[in-house]
Amino acid sequence: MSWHVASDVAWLRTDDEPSLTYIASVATGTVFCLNQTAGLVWESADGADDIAAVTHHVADQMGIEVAQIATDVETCVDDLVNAGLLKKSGDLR
Amino acid sequence: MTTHSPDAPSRDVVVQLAHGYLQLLADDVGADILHVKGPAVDCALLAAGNDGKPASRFSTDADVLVRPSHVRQFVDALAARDWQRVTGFEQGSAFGHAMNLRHVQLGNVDLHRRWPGFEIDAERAFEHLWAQRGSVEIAHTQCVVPSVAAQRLLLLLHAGRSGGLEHRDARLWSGASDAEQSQVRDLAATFEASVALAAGIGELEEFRGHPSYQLWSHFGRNDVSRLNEWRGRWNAARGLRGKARVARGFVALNPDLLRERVGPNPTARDYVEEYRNRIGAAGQDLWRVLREVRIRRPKL
Repeated sequence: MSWHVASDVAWLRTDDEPSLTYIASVATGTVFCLNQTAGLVWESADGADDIAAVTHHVADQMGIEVAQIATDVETCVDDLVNAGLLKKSGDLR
Repeated sequence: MTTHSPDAPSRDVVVQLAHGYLQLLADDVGADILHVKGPAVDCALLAAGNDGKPASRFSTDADVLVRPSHVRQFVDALAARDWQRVTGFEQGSAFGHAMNLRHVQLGNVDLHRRWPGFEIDAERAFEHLWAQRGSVEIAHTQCVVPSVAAQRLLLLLHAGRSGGLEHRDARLWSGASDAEQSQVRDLAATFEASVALAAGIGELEEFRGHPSYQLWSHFGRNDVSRLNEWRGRWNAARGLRGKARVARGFVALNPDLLRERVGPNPTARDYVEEYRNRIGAAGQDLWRVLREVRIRRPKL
């Protein structure tokens, strides 16, 4: 199983600090706004095979322990999938 | 962590998202579109910023040119996704070239069915542009754009109806090499856009006898006279249908613009008021023209 960014969304990350990620979905006609952490999860999940890989990447980028964010990352990925912004591809194993 | 638009994005972000969204939607419904102006402009045509790098072009809305035979399906697709019409093609401008739609989150789109200045058939013009298309990434989406040479021409034609040599894009001519200028002239000939190009590059007087001269002269000078505009539109209109369209536009009020001004449901009083304003403006215009004629007449 892996995730990838939905093919029907246009998106960009602002240069501000903290940055925001805006995502326009053709399917829902909605613009979503992700805060910096959610934006990092969104980009980290694209092409990742499992939640551990996403969590490790996000923890690395933020310079914190995996255990501190594991639950939040999992919830965020679920939210992104439910919103149609991330797609699950077939079980690879 | 996922939030739903708590922070209103800047205009620049909205326009970029809209371009990406429009391309994805066009792909979805099988419509051919070309992105023009704003973030779609090729780096080679951007002016240098203070740091010497190409400066981004900001736009207040997203501009796309749609293959004329695909316009209906694309507009229907937008309408089905909560895009509201602001102005229709006939009412949008003197050239009847674009309609404007608005989305509550994605801002405005100027949807062109033809490019002002092209005098060949709009479908043929689009096909010429399409045959030489390229692409540019906007909001992580590959957006289809005209060739760099065609972009230069389109921007110069736009300058031609927005102040001519006073427009910032006039530099796309003055700063172009001989080869680039020659390429633009050839393209203008292909699209029968030589009059419009002349307006953008300061050569309009060479076309004084052309039916489109007055219209381009009007917009090239940023002339505020509506009377001059209508005279130009009348002269430029081709055939009976074209003239009839101009005559209809002259007499009828523009309901889209009226709604923009007074709200979604104009009353009879609003229409009367609008007619009164129009007649008043026409009277002032006429008075100004008569004064000019009197001033020009030699004293006996």
